[in-house]
Amino acid sequence: MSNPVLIIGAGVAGMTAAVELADSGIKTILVERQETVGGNALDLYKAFPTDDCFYCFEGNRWRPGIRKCFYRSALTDQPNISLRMNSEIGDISGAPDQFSVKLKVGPGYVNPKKCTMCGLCLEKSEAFRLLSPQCQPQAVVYDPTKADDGAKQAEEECPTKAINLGAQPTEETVQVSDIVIATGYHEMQPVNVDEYNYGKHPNIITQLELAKIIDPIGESGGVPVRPSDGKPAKRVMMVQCVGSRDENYYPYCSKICCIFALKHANILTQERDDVKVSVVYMDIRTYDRYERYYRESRNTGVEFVRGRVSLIEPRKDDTLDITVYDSLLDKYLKFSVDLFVLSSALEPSEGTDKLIETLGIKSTSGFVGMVDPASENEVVVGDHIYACGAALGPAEVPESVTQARAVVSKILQSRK
Amino acid sequence: MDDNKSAVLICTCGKQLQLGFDFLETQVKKMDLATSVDVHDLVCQEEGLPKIAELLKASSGHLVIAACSSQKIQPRIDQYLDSKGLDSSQIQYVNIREHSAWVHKDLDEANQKSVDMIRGTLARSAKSTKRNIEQKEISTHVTVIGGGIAGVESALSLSNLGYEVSLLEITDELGGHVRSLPVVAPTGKSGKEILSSRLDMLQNDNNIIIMTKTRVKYVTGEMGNFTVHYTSEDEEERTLNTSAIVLATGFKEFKPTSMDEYRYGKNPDVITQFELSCMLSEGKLTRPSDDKPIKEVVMIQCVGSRSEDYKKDCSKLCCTFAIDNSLEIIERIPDANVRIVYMDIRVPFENEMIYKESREKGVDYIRGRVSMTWEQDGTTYVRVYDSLLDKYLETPVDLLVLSAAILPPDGITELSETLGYAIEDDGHVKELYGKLRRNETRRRGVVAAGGVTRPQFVFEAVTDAQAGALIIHNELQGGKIESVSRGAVLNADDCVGCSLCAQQCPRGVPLMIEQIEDEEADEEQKILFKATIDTLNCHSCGVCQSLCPSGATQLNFLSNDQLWSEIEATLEDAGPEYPITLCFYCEECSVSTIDIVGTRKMEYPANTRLIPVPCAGRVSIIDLLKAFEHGASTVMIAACEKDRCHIGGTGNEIAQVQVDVARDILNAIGWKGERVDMFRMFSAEPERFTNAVNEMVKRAKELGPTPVHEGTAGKWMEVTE
Amino acid sequence: MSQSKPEKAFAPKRQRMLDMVLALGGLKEESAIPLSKVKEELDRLKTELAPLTDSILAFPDSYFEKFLEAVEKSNITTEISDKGILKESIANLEEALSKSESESLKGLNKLLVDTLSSMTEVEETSETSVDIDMTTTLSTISDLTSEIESITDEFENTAETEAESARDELVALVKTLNESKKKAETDAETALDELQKLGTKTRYGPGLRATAQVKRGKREGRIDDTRFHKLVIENMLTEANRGVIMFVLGKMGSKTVVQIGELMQASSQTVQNALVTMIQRGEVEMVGLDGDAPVFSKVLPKTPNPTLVLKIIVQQVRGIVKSLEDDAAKTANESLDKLQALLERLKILGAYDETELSEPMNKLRETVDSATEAALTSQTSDDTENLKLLISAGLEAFARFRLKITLEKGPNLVSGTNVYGEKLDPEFYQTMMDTYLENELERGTILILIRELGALTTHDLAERTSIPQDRILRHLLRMKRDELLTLTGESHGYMLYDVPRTPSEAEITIQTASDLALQLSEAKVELQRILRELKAPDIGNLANSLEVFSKARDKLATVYVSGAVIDETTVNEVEESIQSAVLLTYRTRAKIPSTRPKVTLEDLADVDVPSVLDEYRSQMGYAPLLGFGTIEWEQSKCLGCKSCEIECPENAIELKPRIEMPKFFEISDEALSQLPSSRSLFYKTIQNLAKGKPSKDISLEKEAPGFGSVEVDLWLCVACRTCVRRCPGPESGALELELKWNLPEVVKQITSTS
Repeated sequence: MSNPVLIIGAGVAGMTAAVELADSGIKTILVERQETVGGNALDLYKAFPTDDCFYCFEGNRWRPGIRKCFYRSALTDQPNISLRMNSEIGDISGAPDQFSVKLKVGPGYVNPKKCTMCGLCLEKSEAFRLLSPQCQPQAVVYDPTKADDGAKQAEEECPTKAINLGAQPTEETVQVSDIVIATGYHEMQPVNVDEYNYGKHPNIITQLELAKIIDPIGESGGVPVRPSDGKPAKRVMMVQCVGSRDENYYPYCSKICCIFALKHANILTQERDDVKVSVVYMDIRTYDRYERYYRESRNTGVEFVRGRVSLIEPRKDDTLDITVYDSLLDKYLKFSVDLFVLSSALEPSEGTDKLIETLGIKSTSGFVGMVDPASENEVVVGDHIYACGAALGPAEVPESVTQARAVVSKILQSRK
Repeated sequence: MDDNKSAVLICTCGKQLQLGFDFLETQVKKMDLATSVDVHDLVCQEEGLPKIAELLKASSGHLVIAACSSQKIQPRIDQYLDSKGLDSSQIQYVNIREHSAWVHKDLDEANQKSVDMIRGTLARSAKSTKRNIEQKEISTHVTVIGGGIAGVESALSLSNLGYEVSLLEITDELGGHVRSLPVVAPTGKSGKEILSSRLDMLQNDNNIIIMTKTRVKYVTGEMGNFTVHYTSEDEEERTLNTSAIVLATGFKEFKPTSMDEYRYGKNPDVITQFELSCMLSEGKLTRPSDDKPIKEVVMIQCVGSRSEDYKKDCSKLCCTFAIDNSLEIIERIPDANVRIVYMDIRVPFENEMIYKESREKGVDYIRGRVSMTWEQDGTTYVRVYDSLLDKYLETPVDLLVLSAAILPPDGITELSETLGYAIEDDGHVKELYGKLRRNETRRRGVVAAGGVTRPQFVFEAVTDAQAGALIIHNELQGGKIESVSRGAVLNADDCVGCSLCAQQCPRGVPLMIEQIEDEEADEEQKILFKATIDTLNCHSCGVCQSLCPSGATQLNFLSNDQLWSEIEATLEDAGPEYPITLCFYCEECSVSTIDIVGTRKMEYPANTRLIPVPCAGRVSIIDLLKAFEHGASTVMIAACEKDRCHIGGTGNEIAQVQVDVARDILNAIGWKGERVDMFRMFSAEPERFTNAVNEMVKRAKELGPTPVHEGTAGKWMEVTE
Repeated sequence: MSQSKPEKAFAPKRQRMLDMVLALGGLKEESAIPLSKVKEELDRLKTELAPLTDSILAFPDSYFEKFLEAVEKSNITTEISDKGILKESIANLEEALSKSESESLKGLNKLLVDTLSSMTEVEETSETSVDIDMTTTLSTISDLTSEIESITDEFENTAETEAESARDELVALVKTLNESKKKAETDAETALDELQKLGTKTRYGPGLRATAQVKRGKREGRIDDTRFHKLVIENMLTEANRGVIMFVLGKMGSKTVVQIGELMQASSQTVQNALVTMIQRGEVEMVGLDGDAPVFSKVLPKTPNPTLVLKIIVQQVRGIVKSLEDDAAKTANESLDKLQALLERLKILGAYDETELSEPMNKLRETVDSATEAALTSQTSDDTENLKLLISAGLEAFARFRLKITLEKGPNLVSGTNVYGEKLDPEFYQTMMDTYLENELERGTILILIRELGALTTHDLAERTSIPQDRILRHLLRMKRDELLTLTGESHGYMLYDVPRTPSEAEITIQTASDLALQLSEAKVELQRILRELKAPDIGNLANSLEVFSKARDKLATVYVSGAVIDETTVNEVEESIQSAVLLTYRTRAKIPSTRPKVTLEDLADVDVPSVLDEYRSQMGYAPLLGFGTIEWEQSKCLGCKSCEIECPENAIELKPRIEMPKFFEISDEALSQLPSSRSLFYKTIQNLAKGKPSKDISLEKEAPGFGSVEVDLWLCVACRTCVRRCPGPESGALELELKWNLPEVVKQITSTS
């Protein structure tokens, strides 16, 4: 029996790859840095292109139907998948098909198999939290920094003895035959893009933070509020290409930020009451069928200004005065805005560069590059090394899922 | 051991649930359908699983587990029982945690609700039948239609996965559009080089049969047994038996002859982007009209796309196409002057750097639109409005290149009539689910790869093809399909041949077969059809069962009797004093919404009874009326949102039809139509379920006792209108 | 019961249906009449008819005997000139003879044959050659021209003096015009009166009428003051101006716009405006050029004759010049130019005292005619034929009206501009005129040839006139369109064209006589055949042949030979016997059973289709009906599965989203038991839930699979039974085709029209 497959990152791409491989009878080790599966998908309220909730993964012959929700995927009970939550990748050695990988597995305070989410520990102490009702594995999460005696009480009284406060991080080396990189993207915190002075004013946020605010399950219950004082925001301005298409940050175009920016604009104007949105852009790149978002936003009254932001001055009542140079009118325009949203660049998630270097594979402006571009096989990045999802460059959900399936197809073909 | 009685196992979830478990135990013991009742603390943990196995053996497979949401514990239990070699197919689950303990403050009502639901499930389990594992051998042959890059790649991947492939190509050469691309964006290599490696592999791969100049006329049959009717050069129709079909017919470039502001078709110097690529790859770059050298080139973006009357959406490829070709022109003719007239330059990811490079190399970008093109003594002139300078620019031009829209290939809609896949409103093949299943189509075993679904770059088409290969591999399982048959089973002699199931099944699984006796049918003889359903292909949504007038097709895990007896048992003592709302919820969006309501401990009234169904489409008008017959005050269906039905795709709409007709009929026969309604669930917004339940319970109270309660139901003979 | 759709456009089948019902008139048999009675009626008719038919049958021979005598006596055959008619009559007579022997007709035929042969010998054409000494004629021409010139000078002087005398009167007119203009500002009323006075002076009709209308309008209060004021200032003043212009042109001869302006002390702009409408009204016309300014003159009711004659002369002289050589040509040319100048001056002069000029003009005309004749004969023989033709054709062409106008209008169109200032460039005009002339000449020759030689074909014409055959054909067609030629049969493949000859009275008689001879002999044969043994169905044909006899007799009554109707007495006698015979036949026909029974409206409601089809086929020999029938839909057996709608080739059947609720409660238990299990359970559950029986149907907004009611459009349904065979309903299905014709639609249609 050949070795299992190592999948780094359990976002939509990693999880699809793991589940497909498991269904095809191949053992996989799924390593995820955070405590729950889902990656960036969990924070986005609605997913383009189908505008429905993010928490789902595909059904197939064994899970009849078109799709299933995350929380029902029962990854912990999949025989072929061994899950490693909040664990990191150490160094990798060995020849292709015989890799030996050192895993730094975080302390398992709560054993996901045992936890029945009965809610006892949540009442007992603040340290325990349920990330989201849809989280997978279905278990509570323990934050050691908030340890208090209530936590100890919970440990004793837990009916299934799932809690072990004394857990220690462990080291582990595994022998794997193939490595699949599904590390995804990370939204750049545009702190050092000083003209937008992100971080200096609470009402200047990025698109992901906006997504959290308008998510009904969030604290504000979906009402767009200003982080500074919690009052509902009536005027929102979005700026495109913050950090991307820019020499001193990222020269490439982050491809999907135009789309989810306009998706947020549509949600704000259509589904929330009286919010006026204006978008400052150089090129609106809603390619393919996503042009629909651009059409809808124009119909619902979103104002599009082609130009660059030149000055932002916060005012006493927490609103922001923004002057924008409009290249079409060739004039400077002044806006007073409650919320200023930056569509910041999507950079490779941290640790990808170290991984590229250890595996000795190519890099395309920070993301994982194809081994042989002429072959147009975008998922093959090395001998027995594959990559899928946003690790290969900013990618939309359907693209990542198709790439994950391509990886599994390639692995099966290599094993035939 | 009487085989319709079942054992009951109640879980206290580690004594955390505040239910009167002894009250539950005594009540369930009184029910004659229950052989034994056990209360256990941790059914889902290691200590609980052997108990389940033991009870299962004791009650010959009929077991009811009243614990938390089956979505969480069922996989673990099935796993464990399979490892023990036991058949877990007949276990019924009742969710007394998220559906009653966590959501109702009043304990007695919660207890009563749990008891009723357990009684219903017992009635359902009593009539459950054993489901066995079915096997089916199908040929491992796949047909790929279309010989472009996507077709070639899927043929190679499928043959690598061990399938015989026949590759049908309509022209006489493989390669499609990629063959005549001078340079492909990220790689900088020419189309021919990219294809060459693949074409060689294709030649010496004996699994693949290449059939050029063949056109597919129509396809019949279903997955595992398709018959492709095609014609080759001699126009004589032949058939080919295959198990799955890959649509890889690529795209067609829009010929803007009808847009007279560009004078395409009338002026030889006005060509489309693809024609320019062909010229570049053939190496002759001169003016088509009189072969003079080229100096002035103007490229116009978004011709036909992003416009109201041709193609509403953007075609994604033409910007990259245009920039590649302009760089190629500048490389071959250094002093050429290339201008690109655009609205938005859309170049994804790495192509942005190529866009920057082209700007440095002197390609002039004008943001504007063309207003007029005309010819004057041999040279073409074009007038462009530049929105940045707000001025009109008129230039003579040697070559006017239109980046025309990318449209679906010809023949796709005709093929869809027989093959059954759906067509998007812009003419491309409609994917099964836009987010996660882009390659599959509505029909099982039919996969679409490459440009036929949407405009795609070369590397995207290659990935599409590889993914399509995996999907077919998952479906065909290498020829031997073996799984526990869970779906609709058709009993042929009950079937009257009304074809309602074939018309309405969202995945097109039932096939109507005409029963033709051997001798020629005369005028009087009845045309008789019978339906056939391959349970292994069925997605078990139950729509055909709700529509079937003779009950010929039934889900083997939820037959009509099971559901009717469950309704009767659940509503056993429903009366006017304590009006009951019966809720059918689908085990997709609704179950996750209701579970989340439970996990977040949101409160809603307890006089509700919940009955799970695989999909809302399974609930027919008879079930609704039966619920009223057995004393329910109001009945509601919780289903997925529009176009979001998880299982088949149209189950929720068919349920909506049943509800609408039921309302009208109730109004007509003296009842209040508002007693039945349907609500759409969305797991990201759990308050939708609580609002729905509160509304229906309020109506139950306001509308008061139903004619069944008052005893006036069924007395329509005496009442003279 | 299924009703058909509300009134919609007539489906093809329905249209056929209605026509058939109306054509048949009746579908049900009347009370049958015993056969014996029919036979008795027929015999009685036969005996009564016997005497009458003898006189009728004898009538034709006796008539034509007398006719032959009359014709020989008056030998009107010599007056026949049209060979076409002769040939036709001979053909008729021969055919009549082939039908039944008759001495008189044979004689008449022989007579016609030899008149025809006599006409076709080739008349030798006499040719008179006239030779006139060319030089003398030329000299007479030149001095005649000088004489005419002197007369025209006189005319011009008289015109001059007239103009002088009219000048002061003009001044007065202009003064009053300006005064009234000034006054109009303040007091429009009196200004209008003055204008009216001015109008009477200049006797300019339209102006007078306009002022009268405005006055009446003002008086009756229809025109308010402001509008009246405006009308006066603008319209009335221009009318006055026009009056003055008319006066000037009338009195002082044709003038250019500038000259008129000076005379009237008015700006040329106002003159131009006024002139434009006058030209449109056809009161003023441009007659020549003074430099490049157009000269306008009053349109004369009739252009004086000499000007016209002079025009023809100029044309002829031009023709002559062409045929002369060196010095003779030179002198002829000089006189030609003089004549042309003379023509110009006459035109500008406009009206003048014709009598003075006409006499020298006619002399000039004769000399020029003889000159052309001479020019012709002096030529060599062979092209004399076509030249002669050419010239006579030319004359022919001139006689025709169109060419005259072009010659008149043409020249000044070239030199002057038309009203809108467009010029016709001369070179184009020249080529146009040449082709035009040439065409006209060719047509003229063809016309003369046909008139002379009788009907000709393009083939013969091409031989004679050396004009290519296709051009000839074009001319022939053109002339046929202009009704100059008619088609009179064809000879070995070619169409015969002939000039529409107004046949002489003799020709008419011969033609009608031969025509009627043919008809009568046919009718005679027919009548004899029927009378041999009379059968019921032949009654109609008997009546018809008698009808033919009476019509022929009426025509013969109008044929005159040398003023008298032939054998008038027998013609009148036979009239009365034919009438009584016809009466007899109609009476018997009415008594025996008519083969066309009448339909009654109630019967139509329930008529068995097959029997009607046979009836119709026996009558008309074919039955166009596709399947007709009524589809019955039984709600209790219907599963609402739309298989019938999907299967029907004519999509005539449809499942409508309408549930007939009352029917749910009328299903018998036996029907319930036959229904498939779930369906019957569905009905049972409804029945034991219902509090009351619903009375109305439910209409659903959108399609619901499994629910609805079936409707059939009877006009589209072709009764092919596919839906009946496909319906999966219990027993034999919910649909049933009855070959019954229960078409309320037809009944409504008939009742509405009758």
